[in-house]
Amino acid sequence: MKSLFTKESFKSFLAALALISVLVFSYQSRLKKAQIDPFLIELISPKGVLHLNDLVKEKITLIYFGFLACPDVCPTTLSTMTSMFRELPPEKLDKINFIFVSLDPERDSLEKMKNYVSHFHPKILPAVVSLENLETFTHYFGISFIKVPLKSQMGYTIDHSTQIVVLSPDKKILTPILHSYTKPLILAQLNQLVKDYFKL
Amino acid sequence: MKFILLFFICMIFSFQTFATSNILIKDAEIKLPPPGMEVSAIYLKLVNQSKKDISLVEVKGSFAKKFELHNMEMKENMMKMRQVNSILIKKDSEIELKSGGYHIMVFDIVKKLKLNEYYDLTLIFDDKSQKTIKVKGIDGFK
Repeated sequence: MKSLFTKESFKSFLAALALISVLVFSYQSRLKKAQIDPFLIELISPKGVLHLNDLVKEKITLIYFGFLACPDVCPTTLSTMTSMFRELPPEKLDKINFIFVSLDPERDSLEKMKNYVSHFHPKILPAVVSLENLETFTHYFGISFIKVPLKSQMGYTIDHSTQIVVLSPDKKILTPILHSYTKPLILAQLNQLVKDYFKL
Repeated sequence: MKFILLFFICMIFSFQTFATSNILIKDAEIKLPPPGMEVSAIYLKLVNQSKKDISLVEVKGSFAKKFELHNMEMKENMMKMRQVNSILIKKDSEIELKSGGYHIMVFDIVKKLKLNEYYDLTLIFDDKSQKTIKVKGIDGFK
């Protein structure tokens, strides 16, 4: 009778063991990645390194994700929000944060972001999240983005979700502001949020 | 006398070339880019007055290094932008290059664009015709 542990079966056993350990390791590292608290991810801004954990306190926080080489949707959103912020009275505006996070940290330096947003409302805070953390950060808020290579002068573009993420002071994800919304609709939504949370 | 005659003959021919361009271009505008950005988009209307389909295939101008034709699509709140080789203007119809759709992407703007000023832009079509128009600088992002 042949032994149960032939050379061949031992080899397969080792191979299976190696495969299992790789799978376990990758699962663990993925678990570790998922465990990063998005509210503790570093937001590099002109005001220094910030965390959502602190920013959300006592405020309604709006986060918009885009990139500087975006010719249309991104500047249009920032321009729409600028006009919204101009219409809100100061006491209401004070209760709102607006963070513009780059989805292209490879090209968009903080300096470039700062220069870019200077064209819009001072309420708009530019922030860069490291490429390493960006996926966890966006994923948590339901934002997708894909870097797509183009033959164009651009080299690549970024397909991305266009909604503005809305967070409550207690870190709840609220109904987003969609790109298709009209100005009166956005204004009504902002007024309602400030009323609901701060009785203003 | 000969010269005057020649002048008139030239005039007639130049008018003819002008008339053979079957595309009418309206409301051409370029959004002034936010600071630090050398990228922008041109929007306009193309009217095909002829009895055959014509495509816009190339754009040239001296205020920027590169012009490309692009299309933007919005699907389930997701923005996708792609370069296209041409933009078709069907016979007897009109197409609008606008925010959220087809547009002319402008790269490496070399001239400081100003509000309400006009810049020359040449559009080249697949029937070998071309037309130079004025594009107005607008502040679309204020």
